Amino acid sequence: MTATKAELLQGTLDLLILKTIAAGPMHGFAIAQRIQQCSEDVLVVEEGSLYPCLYRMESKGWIRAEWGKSENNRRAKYYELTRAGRKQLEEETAIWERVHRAITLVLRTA
Amino acid sequence: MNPLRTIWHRLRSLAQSRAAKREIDEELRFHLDQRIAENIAAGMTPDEAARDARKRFGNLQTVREECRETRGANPGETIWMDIKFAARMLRRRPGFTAVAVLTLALGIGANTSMFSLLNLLLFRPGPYPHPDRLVRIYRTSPQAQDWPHSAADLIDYHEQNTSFEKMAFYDWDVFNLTRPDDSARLLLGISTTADLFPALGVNPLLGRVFDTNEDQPGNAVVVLGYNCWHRDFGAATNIIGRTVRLNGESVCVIGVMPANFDYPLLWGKVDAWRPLALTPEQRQDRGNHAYLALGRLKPGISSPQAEAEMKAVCARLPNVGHDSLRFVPLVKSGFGEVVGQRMLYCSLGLVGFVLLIACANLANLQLARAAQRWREFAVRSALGASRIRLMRQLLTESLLVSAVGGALGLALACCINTIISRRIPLLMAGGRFNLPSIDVPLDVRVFLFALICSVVTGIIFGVAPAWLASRSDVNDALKEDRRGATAGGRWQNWLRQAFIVAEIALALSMLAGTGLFIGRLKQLTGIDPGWRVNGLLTGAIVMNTSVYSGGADGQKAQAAFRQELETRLNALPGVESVSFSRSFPIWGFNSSGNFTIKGQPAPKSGEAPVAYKEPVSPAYFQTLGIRIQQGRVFTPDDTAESPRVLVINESMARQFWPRANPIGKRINIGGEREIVGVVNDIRFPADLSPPDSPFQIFYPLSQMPVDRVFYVALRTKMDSESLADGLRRAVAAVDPDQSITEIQSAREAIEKAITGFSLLGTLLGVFAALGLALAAIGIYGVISYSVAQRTGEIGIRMALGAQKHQVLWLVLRQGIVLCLAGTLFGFGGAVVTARLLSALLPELSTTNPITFGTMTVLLMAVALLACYIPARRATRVNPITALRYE
Repeated sequence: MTATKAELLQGTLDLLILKTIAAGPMHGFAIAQRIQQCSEDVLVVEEGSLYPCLYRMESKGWIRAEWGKSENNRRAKYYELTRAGRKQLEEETAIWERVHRAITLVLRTA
Repeated sequence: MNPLRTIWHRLRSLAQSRAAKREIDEELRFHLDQRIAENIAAGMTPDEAARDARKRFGNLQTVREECRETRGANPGETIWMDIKFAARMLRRRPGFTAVAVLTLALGIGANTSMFSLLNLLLFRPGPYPHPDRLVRIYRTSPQAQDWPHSAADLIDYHEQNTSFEKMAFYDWDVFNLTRPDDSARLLLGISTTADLFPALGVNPLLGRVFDTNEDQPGNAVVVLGYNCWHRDFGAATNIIGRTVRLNGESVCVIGVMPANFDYPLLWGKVDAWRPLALTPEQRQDRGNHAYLALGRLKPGISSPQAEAEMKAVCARLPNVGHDSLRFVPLVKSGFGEVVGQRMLYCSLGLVGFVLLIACANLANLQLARAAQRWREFAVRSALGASRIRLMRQLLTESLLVSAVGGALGLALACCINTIISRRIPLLMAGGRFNLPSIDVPLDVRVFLFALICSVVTGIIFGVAPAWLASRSDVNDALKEDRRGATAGGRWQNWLRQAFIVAEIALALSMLAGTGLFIGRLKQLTGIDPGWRVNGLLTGAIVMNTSVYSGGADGQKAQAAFRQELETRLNALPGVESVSFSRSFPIWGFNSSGNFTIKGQPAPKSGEAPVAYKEPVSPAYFQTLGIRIQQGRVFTPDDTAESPRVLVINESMARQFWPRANPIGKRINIGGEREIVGVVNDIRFPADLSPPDSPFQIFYPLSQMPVDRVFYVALRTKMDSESLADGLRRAVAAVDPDQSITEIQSAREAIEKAITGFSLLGTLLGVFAALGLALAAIGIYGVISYSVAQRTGEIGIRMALGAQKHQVLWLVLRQGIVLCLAGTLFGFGGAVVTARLLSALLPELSTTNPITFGTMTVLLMAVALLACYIPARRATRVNPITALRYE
């Protein structure tokens, strides 16, 4: 049971990250900030949990990482979507929208 | 998802594991710093900022670990862990580890050494460009496959063929080098046509090689071998153009060949190369088969094509003796001695048995160890280690042991090779002259062999125990307190006993094989050679061509030299008789030829019988102790001017005149001659293969002069050692420019000549003993283990009144059953081994039941002794202690 829940949460975080960096290469801190800002501070990611997620997606080939310079001139690791990542984003968005609609429907009719 | 990418990531993280850790840390640190900076910008104090950043981040350590794990679910790292763990386990049991490593080192060392020998002699390509295009050309006859050729035939082949780019013929030769201090040194050399160097495609290190214009009688050039240049001329670079005295002539050094020109398979280390310089008479001669031939094929022409073309050439030539030709690629021809080659294969096979026995032994050790570690494995699997994981752990231990064993084995092989290398030359090149030692190198191929040996053995002796250990039932094993008598236990016992049976069977096959080999070798070398070996002193004399050249004058000079030497030697105290001959019957006679018999139907073309031709002095038969069976032998009255006569051997007389008297019959062998006598057959003690021809024809030395080299033999009353000096002085007294070499007793010469065989016999004996010892240790281990396991049972039996001999029998019975089973299989194995041996070495073929019997008894005795020791220990079990122990 717990496994499904974790997967669901994990999947959601994946989706958020993919969507976020679809805009362009971004380092981990910026991703966390961006998610928080975009969700109007509703979704506060435990910032550390972002990183294992990033590494997993990198090993799955959805995103790729490259070291670059940050705004304040420090070495930072930037992530960007790969082609596979873009496809994954589309799929997951579609799934999310279906689920979202389904849940909304249930909530409305019940 | 792309699996390749996953693999790539893992590989990369394996390679950069440390760097990866650093990267992760850096990335996380960047995040925290960034957050702190933001916080401070938002107005927090630095302390607050840091605390908040950490709170928002979560547990830094967990995140770090998780990242690392994702980054490398890293097989490399777990393998490394396995290895470290295995090393720790092995260190903890130094006894087991030492036994295992040493057993393997012996097994692998012996095998690697045999392989490197094989590698050197059979597999290494020559140091020449495009070695695949080099072929050797042999003449075949019904009797043998690798006869040399006559000069006239070779010249025809050379002129008529279109397949060869270059073709060369050559012959072994020896030269007396007069050194500045006026002592003579005998150089081992080769006389060759000029095309040899371009055919092989090797350029001289210094100077030049000779060309066809210089390949004429009366030339005065020599090309030195690398070894000779170093040894006799101190590697002087200004050697070119210097004049040296060879065979009493002044000869100009025109070149030095590089070291790698000394190809052991063709000629080992050659001191000097001179033009073959055939005389016009020699160029016409089709009777004297003395020349070896090799050639370089034109690109794109295969050896069979060339062979077919050459056969067509033969058919066109009216004069060529219609023998067939055989082409052998140089890379395959190397080790000319077929017997030696097969012996090597046999030895490698037999040595393989040692390794198998070692494997069985180690498998047993591992099994016993796995049984002791039953609980460890049960605990680990209870804690969640998978079966595969446990198997991998055990296999890693086995492989670690075998890797260390392999490394040690390689070192051992190195040592063995140093010992062997001094004796190889005696296995090769006919042993006519003492060749320098040949290094047995450990090259890449040998390293690979050792590596494969260790990996394969590691897997063989590791898999079964690992598999069994992984089968352990966690519940049973954890409940069971120490005996391990679980479901797996029966399996284990069964397997352990199977290994013992296999070991005994292997050891017996090996002992029987080796026993047969050595026994047959003894038998062969013990056969009466047809001449009296003891009390015979021999030496080789190489005539200096300047005085004793091939012409009539030279021959007269030679005859005078021999005459005078004979007189002087006969005057030495202790000398009974003195004789001269062209060769000495240790390896074979040096010359042969086809013959036809007058008055008998001519044989079909290509099937004319071949006989050895040996010119001898009149006292030869008396000196060597050869029996005259019919007629007479030569006398001083058989001179160059008197009627041409021959003496033939018994086999020839029996074959061609089965019911008639051969005396007075006439044979055509390069001219017609009359048979005057029949003597017994002569065997060549160092040549274990059947002789090239059973027929032997003797000529008077006066009627068939030798070229350059002849042998002197002294029949002595006293110790022949003391006569060596007298012989040397006598030669010097007749002609101070003349050297004599290889002075030794016939017994010594034979022993030296068969060193190769006896060395192999010894090696095999040692290997067999090793196999026996390993098998004994294996049996001892298993019986001891079973006694230890049954201590309680034995205690109860004794407490209930069992007598000591009953207990002894109880234990011994188990051993005997195993031995009998092993022997039974071993018989099968021994029969197969003997079959294989006799198929490989028809000369050594025998199925001597006595050897079989002896070896079986020996094996049983050793095996039972190995059982008896633990059995006796069982009888000393104190019932009280045993029961308390329970």
